[in-house]
Amino acid sequence: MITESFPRSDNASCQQGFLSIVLHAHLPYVRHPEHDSFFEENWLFEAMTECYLPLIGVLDRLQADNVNYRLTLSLSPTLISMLRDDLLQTRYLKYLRSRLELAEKEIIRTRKQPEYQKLARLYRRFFLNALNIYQERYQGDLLAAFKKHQDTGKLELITTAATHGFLPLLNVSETAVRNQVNTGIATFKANFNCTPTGFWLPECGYYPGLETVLADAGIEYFFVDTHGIMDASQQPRDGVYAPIACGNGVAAFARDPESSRQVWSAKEGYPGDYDYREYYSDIGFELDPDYIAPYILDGKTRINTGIKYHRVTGDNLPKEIYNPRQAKAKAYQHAQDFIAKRQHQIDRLGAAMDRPPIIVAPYDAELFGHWWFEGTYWLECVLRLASESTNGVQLISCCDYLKQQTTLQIATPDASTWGAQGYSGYWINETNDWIYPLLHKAEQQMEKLARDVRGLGLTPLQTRALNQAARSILLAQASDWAFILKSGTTIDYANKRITDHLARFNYLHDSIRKNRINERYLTALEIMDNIFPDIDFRNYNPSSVEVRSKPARP
Amino acid sequence: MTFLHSGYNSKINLSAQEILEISQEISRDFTPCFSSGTPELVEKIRLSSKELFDISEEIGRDYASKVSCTIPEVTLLPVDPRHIYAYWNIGENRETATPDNEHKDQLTLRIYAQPDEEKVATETVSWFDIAIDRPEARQQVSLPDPVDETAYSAAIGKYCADDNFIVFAHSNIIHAPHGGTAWYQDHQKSTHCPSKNASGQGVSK
Repeated sequence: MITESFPRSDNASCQQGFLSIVLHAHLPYVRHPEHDSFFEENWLFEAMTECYLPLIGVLDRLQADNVNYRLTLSLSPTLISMLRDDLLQTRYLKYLRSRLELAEKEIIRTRKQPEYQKLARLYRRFFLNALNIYQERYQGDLLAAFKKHQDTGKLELITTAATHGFLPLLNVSETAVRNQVNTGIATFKANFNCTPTGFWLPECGYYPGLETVLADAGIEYFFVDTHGIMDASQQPRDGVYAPIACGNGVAAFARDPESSRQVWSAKEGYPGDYDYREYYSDIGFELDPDYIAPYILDGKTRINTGIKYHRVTGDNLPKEIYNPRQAKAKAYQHAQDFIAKRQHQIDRLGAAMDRPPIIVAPYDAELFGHWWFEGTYWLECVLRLASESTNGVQLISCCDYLKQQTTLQIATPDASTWGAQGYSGYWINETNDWIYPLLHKAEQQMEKLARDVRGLGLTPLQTRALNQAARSILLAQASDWAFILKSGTTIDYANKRITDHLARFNYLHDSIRKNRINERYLTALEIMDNIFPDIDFRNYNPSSVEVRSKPARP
Repeated sequence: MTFLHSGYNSKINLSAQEILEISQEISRDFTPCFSSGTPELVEKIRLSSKELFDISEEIGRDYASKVSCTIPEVTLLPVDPRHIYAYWNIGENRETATPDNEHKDQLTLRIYAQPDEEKVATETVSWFDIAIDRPEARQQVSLPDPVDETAYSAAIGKYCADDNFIVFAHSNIIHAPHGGTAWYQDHQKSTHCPSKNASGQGVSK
């Protein structure tokens, strides 16, 4: 077996086994200054209220209690940019205050229904707490909160591709992939003043060769789905319970199917427990239209408000009222069950391995709190339980695990994703295949444009237009649009986003070629798509880009 | 002494509507914003949301993307161990087959398979043809079973009356995933949740 040496830190301790929990937080760039309010911006506001702020609450409590946890959080560049955006921060406060107002109205409306009123009061406290954490504790800067916890060494922050581009289908051009990867990392660096060691591949989309791009960007590890390792070029000696080295200083960790199933599975997963809050029961869809009008879309179209009074209850049964105490108790039980099962796994694996196994459990962050209301509490319980010294399950970050290993088996993972059926089919099929010829053509034109202007003295206006064209390309490449077209949720919006970004690129391309740049129009596009302030269009000319070598390991 | 106790008595009478408008204007223009490190936008051009919207709509309308190309081309994309995906453009003046000339001038996608890309154009290369009979210049291609080759390329072209295959364009080379068969079957009942993606935020079923 061929192995690759990795430096081992002096303080490495030999434990029975490790658990690495990885949350991937991502939303597409949903920011619409061209509208006074915009429905899809609620995706961000809901995730902030129900997931990111409660998650920060968890981290704050763990820190206050001096819990020795480890957690990895991937923050996508689009999410990072939105969390730092003035307009969205201001709109979020408005959103949160409107939720608070609704909860207060609900307390009055439910005065003759004590069980419901108790829940209405709970929501009022929930929104007030969110407002307090957001406005008072962190002055609207959630990234500062994550940074604070990163600085303790217990939270590891990593990132992903610039707009979450689905790299296996962008790989027609390596420049496209490099720009997605490098712009993502640059955004992370600009906001956290440090370089991420790990990289979350959008949708876990890997193809052989991608590790070269990651190595050039200074990345030390990434994640693939289970079969990416199981079907690797060499049979993995330790299955998915040890990373493999790609032979270029970059390691690949695989998702553990058992711990994934316990959380993700629609049938067996914890979130479907009958005691948990029912996501799809929301007063936005249930109450009198006149009453709920100020809190739904344009006063007419029913949407989620975040106030939900029922529990999952069971198949084909009338929904019963939600009991928060019972749900919390169940979340604690599920956390105990999760840790016990990991312990079981480690006991089983440890006997057959020459090193401590690592169980990698990655999840979409938004599952916790948003889809699974009790999920953040469950996570807190898991982190507390796993940090108890009596436990054989030790939390670790993948970065620290690598430091403890002297050698890793060398192999190349197989192409894979974590989407349905494990490959690229969800992102290219009859519902969304039309986007790829357009995306590839625009990318080609951008690269040619960058080549053609090389060496020319550009005016500041031309440079701005070229940079804005690069932003349009990246925004069109987001994997979310193809995903939505397939899942059938907000198809019109996804369609419009792709076609708008491509049209904006076409407009800029045409203006630059004809040297007729309208500054007013350019400014409008800069205001609307204000992401990646430091982007440099020259990176689209591969011959002008110096490929940075990965720093040698000490 | 507060303003209310100052005895100031304005002679300006304002209607409820006027007060509302003033309130909205102040709220709109002076709502406190968090300051952050976002880049400074161009100060000299100020655009209202309506102006932004109009520019966005105009550009969206006038610069919509079209797949048009004067140069023939074909591109392959990997899908899964059993499928690849092709899209093509045959350039100008090369019409697709019609019922009248079905057997001659048949637009054809030829897929080449080889054990690895180093051996392209050697005698180990095998191929199969797919007659193109649909207007869309793209389609998914099923790979022969069992799959033992992992590198593929393609050519788009036409069969002529003398059975010669005239190539308009060659594609890129791609690798289909190996895909352990046992895993592939098992994966159907595995851990993937089709609606898990955060893009579904706020959307009710």
